[in-house]
Amino acid sequence: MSSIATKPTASLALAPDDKTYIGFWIYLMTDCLLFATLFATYAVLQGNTAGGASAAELFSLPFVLAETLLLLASSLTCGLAIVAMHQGMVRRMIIWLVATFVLGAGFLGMELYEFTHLVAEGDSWSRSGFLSAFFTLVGTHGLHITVGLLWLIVMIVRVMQGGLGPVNAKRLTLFSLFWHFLDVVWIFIFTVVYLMGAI
Amino acid sequence: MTKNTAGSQAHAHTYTTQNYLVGFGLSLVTTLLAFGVVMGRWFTDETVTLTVIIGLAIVQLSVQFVYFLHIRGREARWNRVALAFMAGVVIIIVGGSLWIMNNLEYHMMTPKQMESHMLEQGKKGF
Repeated sequence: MSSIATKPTASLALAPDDKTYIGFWIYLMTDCLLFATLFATYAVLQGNTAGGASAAELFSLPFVLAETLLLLASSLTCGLAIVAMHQGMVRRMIIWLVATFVLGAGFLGMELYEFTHLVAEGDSWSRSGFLSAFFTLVGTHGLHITVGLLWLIVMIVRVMQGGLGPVNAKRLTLFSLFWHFLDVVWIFIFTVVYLMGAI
Repeated sequence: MTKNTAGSQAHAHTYTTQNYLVGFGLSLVTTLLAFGVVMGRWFTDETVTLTVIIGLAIVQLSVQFVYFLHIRGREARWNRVALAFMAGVVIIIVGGSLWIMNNLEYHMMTPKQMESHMLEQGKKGF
């Protein structure tokens, strides 16, 4: 371990074969299975509109594209924060993390706006099988984003108070995996729910 | 120990600004292409549109796993194994669900068919 101790940047790096990293990775894979079951449910129920509005009638693609770009941009800023972390530039890292938070919160705000708008129009989860599946799938993703934002606030405060130690660096590496993973899930929500719904 | 140092160097190599920008750029292009295909109705055949946007989603998935989730390299071997296993289970769950439910729907009668079937049975007498 001596070679790691002499290199401060290397000590911050949590390698993909680290036990904690693999453990967290396996959690992400199981989370993927959770989303897969919700996707399967959505795919089966998407036509069951019970006389109500269908996906093509309800969703605005440009709105969802803006949402998608916000989340993608937050994935980039999260990655840039990790780059800054590896270079030991704590101030720059915090700036990127705050940017990630702002973009992620923007995404969540747009999603909540969409949800409240749908419910106000009478297209809530109790309207049809299609809408139940829609709210469950997209809402579960939104819940993950909410948890991610809370985790991010905690990490920003911790780094500002206690500096960037190996423990915080480890947690930030895991956070970045979580955040990038949520963007990967969103690709499929964007494609399966919104784009395929509009065809 | 030498293996460890070599590993950290290879590992540090993936955490570069350039790497993230390439991943972001490719994701942006695939997202906008998929959006354009659907919004601009580039293809008249719906099956082609469907195939293209699913293909673009899989391309973007691969891009993000390589550039954002760092699944390349020797160190990420077990992560790739877990990923492959997960992919297998996902294919079984999603593909299997769609197969079973579509087959069930195929065997189901429409309400109209059901009505005429019931009338016919009624004529025969129970």
